[in-house]
Amino acid sequence: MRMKATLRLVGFAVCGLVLLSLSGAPQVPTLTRGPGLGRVSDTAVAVVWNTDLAADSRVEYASEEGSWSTVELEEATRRHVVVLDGLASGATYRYRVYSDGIPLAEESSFRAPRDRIESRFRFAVIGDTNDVDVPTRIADRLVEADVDFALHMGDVVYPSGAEKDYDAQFFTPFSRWLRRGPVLPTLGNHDVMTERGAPYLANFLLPANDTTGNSRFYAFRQANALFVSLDVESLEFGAESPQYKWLVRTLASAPETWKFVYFHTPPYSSAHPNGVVRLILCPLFERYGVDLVLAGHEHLYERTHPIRAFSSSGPGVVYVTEGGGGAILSPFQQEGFSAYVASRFSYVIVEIDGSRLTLSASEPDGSVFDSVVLEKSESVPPRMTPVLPSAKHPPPIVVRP
Amino acid sequence: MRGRATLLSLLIVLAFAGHGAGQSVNPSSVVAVPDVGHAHAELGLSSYRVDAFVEDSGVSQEFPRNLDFRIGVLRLSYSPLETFALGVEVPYRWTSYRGGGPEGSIRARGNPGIGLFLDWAPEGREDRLRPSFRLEYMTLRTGTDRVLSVSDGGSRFSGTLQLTAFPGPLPAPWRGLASVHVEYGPAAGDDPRHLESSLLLQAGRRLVAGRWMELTVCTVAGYQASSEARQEANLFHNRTSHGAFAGVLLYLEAARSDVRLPSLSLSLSKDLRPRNAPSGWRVGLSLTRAF
Repeated sequence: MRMKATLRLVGFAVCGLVLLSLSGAPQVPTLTRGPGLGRVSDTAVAVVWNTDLAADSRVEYASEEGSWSTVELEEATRRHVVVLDGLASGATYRYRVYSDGIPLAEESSFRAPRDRIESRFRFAVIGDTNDVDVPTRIADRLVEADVDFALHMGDVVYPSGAEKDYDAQFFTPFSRWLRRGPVLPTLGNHDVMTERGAPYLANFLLPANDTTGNSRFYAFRQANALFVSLDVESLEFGAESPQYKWLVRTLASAPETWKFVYFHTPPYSSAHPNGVVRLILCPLFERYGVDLVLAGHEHLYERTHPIRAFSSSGPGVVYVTEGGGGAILSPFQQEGFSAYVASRFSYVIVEIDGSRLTLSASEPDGSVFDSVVLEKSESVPPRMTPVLPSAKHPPPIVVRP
Repeated sequence: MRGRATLLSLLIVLAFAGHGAGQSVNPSSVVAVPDVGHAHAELGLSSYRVDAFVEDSGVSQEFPRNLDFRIGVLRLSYSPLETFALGVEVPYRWTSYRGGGPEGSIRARGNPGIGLFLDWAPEGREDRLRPSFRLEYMTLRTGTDRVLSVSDGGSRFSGTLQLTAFPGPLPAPWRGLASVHVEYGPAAGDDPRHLESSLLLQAGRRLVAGRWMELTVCTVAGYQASSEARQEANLFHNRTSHGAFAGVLLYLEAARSDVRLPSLSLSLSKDLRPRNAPSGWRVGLSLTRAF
């Protein structure tokens, strides 16, 4: 009887000690998303990551030959956003992220935004990303192509842009790329299905416009180029709308050599064109010298002949649809304005070198299937020269020394 | 009983037909069967000025320029048998998008195709609603660009049921008319099959009655719907759309059946609560004469 009582006492004591030790164990934050990069202005980069526990935020960063600097935020949070400003134009920086002093990921690197005096850079175009395999392979190609950033043509997350799907469908497949550079998206029709795109707006760190104060539509500058993202899915873009007036102001005051506009539904498409965008916005693109208009929505790749005054009979704006990011491919019936159309998974790399632009469309394995060069001078509209890739050696991009 | 069942079936089809809006309904145009051995001619003109495109969410996108759709239709029919007429329809369309600025404008015009129709107006009691039917097949040429071309290249099969309340249950100065139109377009190329439908109601009374002519004014209201909105603009031909319209209609007609003068009708209507559809004003005119 006494033996039983003693054993019971010992059992209670052991349990008590175990519970005491567990409750006293230090809580260690664990990475649940990221780290990734956002672009909040023309000079600053944001490093973003999520942890399972609220913790502080610290980023250490250094240029390739420079010493390490630290930005630290004491506030305990699960979503960590550290903005790095004062970066040298186009320089490559190494960085490490910490929460509560614990290193959360391997060291990675990014390239700083480029200022106006620069005229050479590369960017990628992706769109309608779905499934895991295709986006993962495209992310690998973006890293290999060493682009400065990627534009996303919308429909980032299917089926309805819900927060619960962002990790599985976007942040995880693109994680390898997101540690190296930002994705600057535009709102797709699927993205706005949940609270008019609230998860999208919360998940991407983008420049804000000065009209609505958010990033439903925005512009940024990189080297000698202007990039404009529009919301044609959930917002007015008609002649009397604030977005239309902002677009006019932004394009009219842009001295950049190259002007790019991107939004979700294509105004010229051999599948289903957005005729409203064509009638309302395309005349503006011509009036203000936009060179390339990029869109997605249709799950294919398409490049038009230059179009001016609703006709493809001379120099004008080139429209590219890049929606081959993994969603079920779309059928099409090639229209007269279409220079190339293919229903295949794809991504696009655009390389700017002064007044010369090279656009290459590739499959997720990196093989180029369409390529074109745009050249322009001060007084002459861009001239387009299709470049037919060699079947034997299709270079994914023109790599310059 | 059978007539009611037919009407009910058509209304059910209308309800499930999806949604669309466009210019195809010209309130001024009605089905008319000439006397046996006689012919009937109708010249219909319609002009549609579109101010904006209204998204499904109700967001309105205003056009910075003038977007106009005009259509002229010549219909000729002949009645070889009592209550039946065979006819041919030849439309001609003008589309334009113009305004200030150096970016050019769009102008498209031409004959989009040709239609063949059969009209039937069965004999009925004078004190009842008088039905008339039209079955039509229209073949359309292939357009070069599907946004603002005058034809989308798809053929159409359509049926119209019209119920006239004059003369009939309505007393002499009053008139009323209801019309249900259902249109089917089989899949063509990349475009899937589609179904369009419309309901049109007219009610009014005679204002002036002379020796030869009389003038009647009506209010007109209707609803259009399409599963694959191939409205005139073809702005979103892969999306369902719908919308109502309302306006006024004037008839200037012969005062008696033995007076063989042309009849004229003129309508003015506005789109109401369009969704995935253009919004604007339309003017319709129809000139008819029996020979």
